[in-house]
Amino acid sequence: MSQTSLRPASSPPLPARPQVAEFRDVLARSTGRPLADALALHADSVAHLRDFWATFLSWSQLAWEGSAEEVCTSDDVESATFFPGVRLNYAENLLRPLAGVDDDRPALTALHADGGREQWTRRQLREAVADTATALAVLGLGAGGRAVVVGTNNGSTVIAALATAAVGASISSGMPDMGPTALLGRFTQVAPTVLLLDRTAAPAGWDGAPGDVLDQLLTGLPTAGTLLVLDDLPLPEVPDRRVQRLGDVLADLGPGTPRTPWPRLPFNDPLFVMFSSGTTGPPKAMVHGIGGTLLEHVKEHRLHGDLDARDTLYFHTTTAWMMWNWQLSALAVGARVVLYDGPVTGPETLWQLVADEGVTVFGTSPAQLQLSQDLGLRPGEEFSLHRLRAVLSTGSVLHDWQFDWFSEAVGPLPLQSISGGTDLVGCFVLGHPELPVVRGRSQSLSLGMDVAALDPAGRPVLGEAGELVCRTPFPSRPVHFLADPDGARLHAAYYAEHAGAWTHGDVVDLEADGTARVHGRSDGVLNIDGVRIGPSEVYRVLRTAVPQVAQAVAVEQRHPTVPGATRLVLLVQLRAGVVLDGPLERTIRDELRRQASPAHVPALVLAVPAVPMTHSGKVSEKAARDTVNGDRVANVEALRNPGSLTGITEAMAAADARQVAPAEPDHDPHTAAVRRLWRELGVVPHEGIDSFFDLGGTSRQSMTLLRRLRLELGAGVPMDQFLADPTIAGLAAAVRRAGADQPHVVQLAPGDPTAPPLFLLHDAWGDVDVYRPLAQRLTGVGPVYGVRARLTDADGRRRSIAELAAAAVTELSAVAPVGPVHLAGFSFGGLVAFEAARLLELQGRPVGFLGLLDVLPPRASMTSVRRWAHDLAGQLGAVVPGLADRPLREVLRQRFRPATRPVDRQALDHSEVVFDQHALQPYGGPVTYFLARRRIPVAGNLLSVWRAAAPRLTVVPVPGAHFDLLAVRHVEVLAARVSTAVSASR
Amino acid sequence: MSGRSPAGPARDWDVQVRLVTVDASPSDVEAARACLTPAELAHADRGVPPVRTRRVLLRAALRQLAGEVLGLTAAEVPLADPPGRPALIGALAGQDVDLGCSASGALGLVAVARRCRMGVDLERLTTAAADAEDWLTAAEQTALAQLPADRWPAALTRAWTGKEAVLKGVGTGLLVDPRTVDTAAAQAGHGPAGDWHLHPLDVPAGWMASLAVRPSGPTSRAAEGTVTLR
Repeated sequence: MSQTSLRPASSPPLPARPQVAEFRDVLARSTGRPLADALALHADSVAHLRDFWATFLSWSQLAWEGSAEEVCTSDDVESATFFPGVRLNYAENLLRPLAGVDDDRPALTALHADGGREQWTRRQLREAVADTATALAVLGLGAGGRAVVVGTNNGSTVIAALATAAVGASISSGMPDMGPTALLGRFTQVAPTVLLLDRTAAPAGWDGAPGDVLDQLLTGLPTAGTLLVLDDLPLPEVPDRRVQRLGDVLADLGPGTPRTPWPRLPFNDPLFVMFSSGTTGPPKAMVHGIGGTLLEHVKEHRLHGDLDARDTLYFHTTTAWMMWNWQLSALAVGARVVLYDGPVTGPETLWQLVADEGVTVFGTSPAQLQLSQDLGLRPGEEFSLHRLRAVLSTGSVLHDWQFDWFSEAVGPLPLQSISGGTDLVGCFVLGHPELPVVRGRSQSLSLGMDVAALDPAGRPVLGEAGELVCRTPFPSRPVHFLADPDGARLHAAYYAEHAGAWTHGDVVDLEADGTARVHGRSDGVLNIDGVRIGPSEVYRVLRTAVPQVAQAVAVEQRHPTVPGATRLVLLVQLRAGVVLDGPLERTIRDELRRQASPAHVPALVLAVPAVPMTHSGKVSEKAARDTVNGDRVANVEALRNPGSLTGITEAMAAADARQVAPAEPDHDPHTAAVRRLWRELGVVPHEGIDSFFDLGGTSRQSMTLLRRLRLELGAGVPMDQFLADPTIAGLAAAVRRAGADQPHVVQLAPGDPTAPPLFLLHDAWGDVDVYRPLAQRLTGVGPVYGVRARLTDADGRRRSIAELAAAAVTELSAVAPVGPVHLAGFSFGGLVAFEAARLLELQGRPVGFLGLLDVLPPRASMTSVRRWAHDLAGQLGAVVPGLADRPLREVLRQRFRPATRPVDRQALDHSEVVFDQHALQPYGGPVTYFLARRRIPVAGNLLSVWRAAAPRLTVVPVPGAHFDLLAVRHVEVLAARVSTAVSASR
Repeated sequence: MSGRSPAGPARDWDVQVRLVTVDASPSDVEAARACLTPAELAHADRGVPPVRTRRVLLRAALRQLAGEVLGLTAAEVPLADPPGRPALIGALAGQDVDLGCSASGALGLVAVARRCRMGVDLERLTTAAADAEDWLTAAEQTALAQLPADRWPAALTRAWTGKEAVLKGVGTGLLVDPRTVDTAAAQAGHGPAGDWHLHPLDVPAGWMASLAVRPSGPTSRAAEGTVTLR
């Protein structure tokens, strides 16, 4: 990877090699061991971790004092402590003046939703932190203290956090929109003495009024004697606490007030208290040490990211996520950090930010990249990204095709998939400046970390998925958990599963080239339909409240009938003579519900003769889970009682037999298909009950059901028809009606029956759902209908626009045989409407109103000059997605149908061809063209094509861009304009 | 939990909300059945046992809460027969009191409102996003994609409960396309959605709940009212 971005003339010349290469040379020289390349460096860093970390500490020239003689107190991953003799200050290392770094260049830029921008040079930031630290000291916060900051990702919150670190106290952060339950779940454990609050960009409820969020938060934090307000909003009135505004405290510090010193504290003293997105119990409160955090972050920034003072980093994050802390540490290398606390209205927001701020390293998520891709965005062409040299992605799986799209649509710069966790406030796998990007994978393992993938027997494997572990101690392990006096929770969290290793709870596969792919979570925490539950919480309740249960195992089962869902299954081994009857089962459920939570109540409770145990006497939840799911148990020899698995299988079979009603054969394919879909949602008629909702189906499931009917059976059944008869038979009948060969006219709004009916022509998939929001808001129009279509004829050939228009005319004439009619259409439907109007005019039927909602003229209708201009407009590249000419499909596509499924994409491809082949013929009637405001400037060319075909064209501008013209955000205005135009036509 | 705006005239509307466990013991269910009308019992008994239990407990809780607000016993509260939007009938019909209820999994929620029209919806957190493109507006979809992945379950569920709350307040439920309700303007469940104002309700971890309110009388701000969790 080379840094090809332009740099301002005043910055130092590009070095020839990345920092990691320089570091490797230094390490090789000092140890006498040759280190040829990146992989050799990693291998050495784990084999000789003391050399690695000691050399890194000195090479990085971080500010510290004391003795680094003892690098690591032991080789045991759990008990080892790093640099016990070193003392340092986090804020000092981030903000001190750096050689070769201009103190008066911007270091922190905070961007706001209203376009506001605040900026601090390194010097200014340091001074602001020093002043704030002094204010905190005056308020009594000092080394060893605990503070909490609630605020968004802006400059005040950053300065507050750094000031807290400067005085040597620990900081936890959260977002104001997290709600009192989530905030208290985190911060009660911290028991802070100071609460720092920034309410800019926060929702309502932070005035301190009785019962509001702030009031609840303070009630739950009795130790927070001081509330320090960072914003300029009216001070809250809260009883029993000292409330001050930071601005006032700073003003009271006279000019001669000495600034409080920033103490250098022991390496493992607390810096950040962070929280796992945990189980339904309180989140784990992990205390991360000053030195471990700083060292890990600087290692990742400098060695893996090659970040230096010429870089500008923007990571899209909130204060509730570890990437917020991670990005701050970039200040330690002299880089500029950009913050943004505003809403993101589309993927363009972030690309525009990256372009405007000259961001060199951009941190985002697979979802944002996928959205950019789905909208047809080509960021490399549409935004000025010449300064961007790397993009990091984390949060979920980054797919292979996203790497392909990225290199094509963004550019030849590395897309680095990174993964780690709040548990280590860093990454186990991440990028590397010297290694190529391998599609679908992270480039390298984290230096100094002996990451391995273990098979169920505990053996390290390559090339297959295994349990992600780290076998060497590393500095950024949490120093302890809160509320864990004997360290038992910390031990259980990471060190219990595999002796001598940190078990992270992810599944990963590693290759010999050092690359890795993280597949997802693997830990004992159960994920039941999106809610995380710790099995130990279940066992605790059973042990204390249900003595009849000798042993229990709680496992997550793939739902037998609802795909993608999971349910909680509890296997119980009962004491001798005890039988699992109704009352005992009820007791188990009641106790779990009362003492744990409703989420801990199992869907299925089964008595088994024995639970599987390992030779060391531990219950094997894995073997139980695999057996319950019908999966092969990998390591049966590791079990002391392999026969227990048979008992579980038999118990499961007996339970299945009791629950599943015998399936009746359906002779009619529609009924069979509907029954299958119901079953997949977990709704099965039995006991004579056949209504969807009586059987437990939910309203949300009804949406899913109708969607699947439409996509899988091609049958668009409207909700009102389903609700009229929500049985399998009723729905099958509705499916039959919807699947009829004729195009189908459906009423979208009642309208004024005395006014001419308005027919809205179908989209590129033949559907009219896209018009519903518009139809429901039109006023002063006649009855509103949507005209659907079969896009193919009996042979599967795609019908032309002319054929579709003729079919539409037949259909609408059946509904409105005489009298004037009104027509309109968006995009594909607009072209059909235009042709249908022409046909009606030829038939002698007046079309009083023809509305074209931002319809591109078909390419076949453009002269060569116009075509050239049209193509050029596409290349000039709207900032607005969906208008690039090359993919007309993007123009035809609506936001409601992102066309990610192959069958949807194909339909769009065919519609594109059909659309473009149509030759416009003249139409003499009045046409109202609703033109999307957010358009490329060459719109004149498009309208002139229409005017040539329709001389009586009127243009009405409407808000939005093409693809979201009909979206709810704009549809009110659109409906008003259309209503006005229709009225004017009468 | 309540939200009161600091300035302005005496409160215009208020909503009382109560959480209900709908996964209770048989004796609780028997007691609840005792205060229901024959029509309510018949509607409940049309469901399979878990649905039956849920309908009985939720309806009884709604009667109980409405009774407390109106000064009646649970059995005395005059309600229109189910199914459909719960409503007071008879002399109380014109009293500007509105009712709502919702359940998901083992938890339910009942609400009684005065001087406004309201809807409530409670939903368990879910990770299923595949169906969401059908009922999310464009603005909501883009907002969702900007969030880090760990916030999607909460954001999706929050959006769904907001829409359902409005549609239940309107009275049409899903007969009206959920895409006509845009919750993108509501920050963390708090804010406007068309004529309605959304409020998040504080419920146990693993669930989300939204309240949609449309005040009856003329008010200068939709936020003038109180929500109380009893």
